[in-house]
Amino acid sequence: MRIGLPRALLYFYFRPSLEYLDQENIAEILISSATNKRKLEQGLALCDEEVCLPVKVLMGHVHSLLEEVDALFVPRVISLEKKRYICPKFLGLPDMVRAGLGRKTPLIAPEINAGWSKSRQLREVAKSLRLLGVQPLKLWDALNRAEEVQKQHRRQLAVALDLPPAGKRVAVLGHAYNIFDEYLNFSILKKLSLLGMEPVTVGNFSRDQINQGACGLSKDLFWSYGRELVGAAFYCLNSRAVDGVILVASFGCGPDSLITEIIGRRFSDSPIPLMSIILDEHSSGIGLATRVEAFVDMLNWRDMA
Amino acid sequence: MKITFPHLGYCSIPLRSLFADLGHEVIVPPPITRKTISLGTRYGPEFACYPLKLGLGNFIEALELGADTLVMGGGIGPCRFGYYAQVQRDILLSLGYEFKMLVVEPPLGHAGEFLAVLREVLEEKSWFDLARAAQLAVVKLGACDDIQRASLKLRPLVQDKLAFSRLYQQTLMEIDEAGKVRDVRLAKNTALTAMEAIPRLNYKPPKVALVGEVYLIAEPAANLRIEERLGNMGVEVCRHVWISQWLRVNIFLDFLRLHRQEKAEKLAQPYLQCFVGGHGQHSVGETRKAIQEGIDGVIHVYPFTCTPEIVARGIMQKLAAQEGMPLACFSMDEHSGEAGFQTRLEAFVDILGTRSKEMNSYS
Repeated sequence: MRIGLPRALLYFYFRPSLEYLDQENIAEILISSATNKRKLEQGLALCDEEVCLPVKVLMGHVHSLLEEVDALFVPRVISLEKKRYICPKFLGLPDMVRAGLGRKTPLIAPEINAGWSKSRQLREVAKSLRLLGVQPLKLWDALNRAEEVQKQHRRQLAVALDLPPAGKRVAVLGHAYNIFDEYLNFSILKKLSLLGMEPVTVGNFSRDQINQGACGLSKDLFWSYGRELVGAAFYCLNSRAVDGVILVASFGCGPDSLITEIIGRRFSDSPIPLMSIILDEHSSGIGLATRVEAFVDMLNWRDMA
Repeated sequence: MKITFPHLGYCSIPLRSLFADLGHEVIVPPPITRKTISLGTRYGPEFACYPLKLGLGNFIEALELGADTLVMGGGIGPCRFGYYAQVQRDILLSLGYEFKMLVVEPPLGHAGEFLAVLREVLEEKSWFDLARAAQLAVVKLGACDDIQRASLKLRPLVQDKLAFSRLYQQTLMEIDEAGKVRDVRLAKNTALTAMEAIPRLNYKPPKVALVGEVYLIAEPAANLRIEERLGNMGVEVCRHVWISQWLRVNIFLDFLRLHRQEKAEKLAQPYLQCFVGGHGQHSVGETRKAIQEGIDGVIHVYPFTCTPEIVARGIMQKLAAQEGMPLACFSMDEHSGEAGFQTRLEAFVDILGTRSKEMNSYS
């Protein structure tokens, strides 16, 4: 039995552990290829027009996999931390996919809820994977190791800020599915590197640094990833660890509409420049390149003045 | 304390009564106008939803009138409403206003913060005073809901819509001014009798279910008076979100842990399995209920970029198409124009009329 894994949304957060599970041969996993024009257009055709860009892209990926797999892995992620959600769209994601592709679409959609105990969570995952015939014990073992891989990956990334910068450092802050999907953001990270900057993302901040930054909030944010963004941005502000910040959000993103405002307000009287980029299916690579180049020029010219 | 709060339909009536009875001066923000909307959109975050902007406009106008204490709701997500108070406070402070903001967090899980706000509002008043003030406020809210319920039923039928509107406005004013529970009940009952007495047309109005996000359903300035418009076109509106009921379920029953799954939630489950924030799951459930009950059409209203309702919308559209239920979705924001809105509503109502004629001729 083959399981399709769309290269979209939370894939970009859990890439290390998902790839580890793929190698472990727990099941035959097929990860969709990178986003391209066809996937995006297919997603646009299948989705309601008001959903955000990353969900439209997910639909395209799911559609591209349909022919080749027996079931699709689209979990219902309620929360990844206690008392914090990620975004309302993840709560209804399997339902949205079913609405777009028909109710008969074979989905593996375990509920992921940080409010549950670990054993209850494992039961839920094991139940959803029972078609594969994996033994719960083996699954438990594999999941634990995958978690370790994920943690280690995070630790490796988090040292970036302590190393001497290679060129000016620019924090590119946004949801992983916007930052690491090169088709959606027109390879903004590569572009910055080519211009002699060192881009850092939320993953490069350690948990402590993010918590330290998020202390500056008047009320703790109830979105896990939103809180990471604000924490990282505020940490940049306090520690002066970066030379500039670029916020990348998708059009119509609920959490980001407030997060951009909260961060922008705090940065308005700081010496660290901030640029906000909104992505949607109408974005143009040329326009984005011009804005990024202008931002980099401004950073470079600040030294000369 | 000069207390103010954002508008939510006729909720200013019970809120004014509650705070006034507790001995505070209450500054009700001026009714929402173009000015409120432009203040809100000018200073509010561009991509935040319409309720944040309108609330911000209300606060600015009330602060200009001398208010110094703002009362605002809180929340625990995933709907972004839970963070509105903090964002609005930052914006208002940066505009140079001086005020105190009281954020009412849901009592379950935030009992400490909830009690702290209560103590602040109570000052030297006793819990008994609070209970009495709250009782009058709840009765007023219930009376307003009853009047609104009656008007949804009767407006499509009465001949003289103008006289009906006048009576409706006057009743709300009487409820607002009433000082005792008895007076509220009297005003309500007199009005209901008077409404029944207005001459009616002899016809069976088509029924439309109005579903969606609570603010957009309850605030006529935000939904461009959709209920009145539909009523004037001779359509009966069935609505599932009532503020008094919402308070009962979400505050009292939740707090006492007596909250049981509502019918709409159960109906939604095969299509939208779990809560997605806001009223997303209810919208799907109410659409299914409308299909089961043989209602003629469904209208979905929500603020532009409201994620929970957008999740629901995709599902509702598929469901409605499958079952042959006419569905119109209106995402509202500061750019919504009245003429375009009226045209779309009229077209929708025409569809309902044509369909029922066709169905009758077939049967």
